Amino acid sequence: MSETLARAAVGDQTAFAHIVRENQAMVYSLARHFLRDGALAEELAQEVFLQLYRHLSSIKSSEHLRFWLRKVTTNRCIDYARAARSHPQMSLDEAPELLAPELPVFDPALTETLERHIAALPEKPRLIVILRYQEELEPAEIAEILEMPVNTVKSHLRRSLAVLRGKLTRAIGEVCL
Amino acid sequence: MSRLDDELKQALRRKEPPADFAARVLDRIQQDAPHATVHHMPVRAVNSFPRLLAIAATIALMILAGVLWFVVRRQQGAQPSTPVMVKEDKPARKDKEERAAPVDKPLVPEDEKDEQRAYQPVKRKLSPRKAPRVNVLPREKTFAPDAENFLALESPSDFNFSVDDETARHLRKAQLLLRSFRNTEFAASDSPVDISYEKQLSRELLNDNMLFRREAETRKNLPVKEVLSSLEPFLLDIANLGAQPSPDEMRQIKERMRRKEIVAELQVYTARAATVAVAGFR
Repeated sequence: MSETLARAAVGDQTAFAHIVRENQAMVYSLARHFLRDGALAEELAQEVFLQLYRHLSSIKSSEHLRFWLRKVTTNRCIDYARAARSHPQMSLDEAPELLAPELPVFDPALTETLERHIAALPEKPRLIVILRYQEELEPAEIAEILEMPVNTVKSHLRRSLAVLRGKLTRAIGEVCL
Repeated sequence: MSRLDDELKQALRRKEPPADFAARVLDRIQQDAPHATVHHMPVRAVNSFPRLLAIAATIALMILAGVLWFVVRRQQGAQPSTPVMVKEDKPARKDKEERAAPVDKPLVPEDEKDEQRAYQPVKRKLSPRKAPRVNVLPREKTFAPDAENFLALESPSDFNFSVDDETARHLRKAQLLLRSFRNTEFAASDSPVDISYEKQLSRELLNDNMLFRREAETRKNLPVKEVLSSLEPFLLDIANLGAQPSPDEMRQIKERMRRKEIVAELQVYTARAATVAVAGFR
């Protein structure tokens, strides 16, 4: 990977395309889960990779690359969210509750519900949940990316999960969540 | 791990972007090539060159303006009316050089006015108790030339100047002092010499010199005024020497005395004054 990075840094387009393909799912998914808009997420992901192309010389390793991509993507997500303030944000309490009492495991409807509830979270808690469950990062890693204390990350995570659990419980009844 | 965690992982699993995502990214890179590539550093440098040039030009203009301002302020500060006290207490080098050859100096009435204006504040500084010590001769009894004749004079011998007794005595005292100072010998080891007497005398003569010079200036007795002006820096330097000055300090003053030929000048004036006095008796 480091060799690919080195080649991309000197202008090898094939190497850069390889880097894009390796990381596109991560970047796109972060944006997609945060924005809940495929087209917007793709646009954002493209901008992130364009920015990466301009800063390739500053990337030291594949770990650094992943960290850099997550950090830039989350920052851009927040920027997008702030720019799109015209779209009224729905608070978690105001989110419509679904009536689906019986749900199979990984029910698409439940997943959809969960996605909507996640999207209704405030920006920082939303990013924390996404990074925790999509990228399976530890609170310390999330804290580093979002530049906030680890305890803040943990408390955000705890509260977000409690809210999501409450919402889902009300939506699907007394299911073991 | 709870069910919620599983559900969250399911809901937040990675999703692949459209298949041609990488191609689109590369297309955008191609479109933005002049701005986006890391390999166009020289191009970026060229693009930023006009900005750098503008910044450099601005800084250069600011420095130039600062220098001009400084020069203008300095020229304003060099006007004769501003440093009056400095000119009075310790004449500038240029003035000293001009006084060294008083005869060759063009005598222009405008200059006289300027000089008088420059010396105005000093009048207020003079101690009133010193003023009565000068015996001013009545104007009709002096031999000072009027303005028209004065401008026509060219050599020292042409000057029909007047020196009153007090001034003549002062010039003789100063001449003796300078001779005494000039003849001071150092020991072989170049050790400091005691010149406390010369210093004391120089202080006394300095006060008198200022008064006589002012008086000569008021009466437009310019030859006398010039010689007193030439004398004053030497009196000042001797008066300001330390209790036991180093041979170097004394050598510097002696060297200036030699260059200005101040002793010879004083001798000429005192001799001239004596001749005029004898002629007056006859």
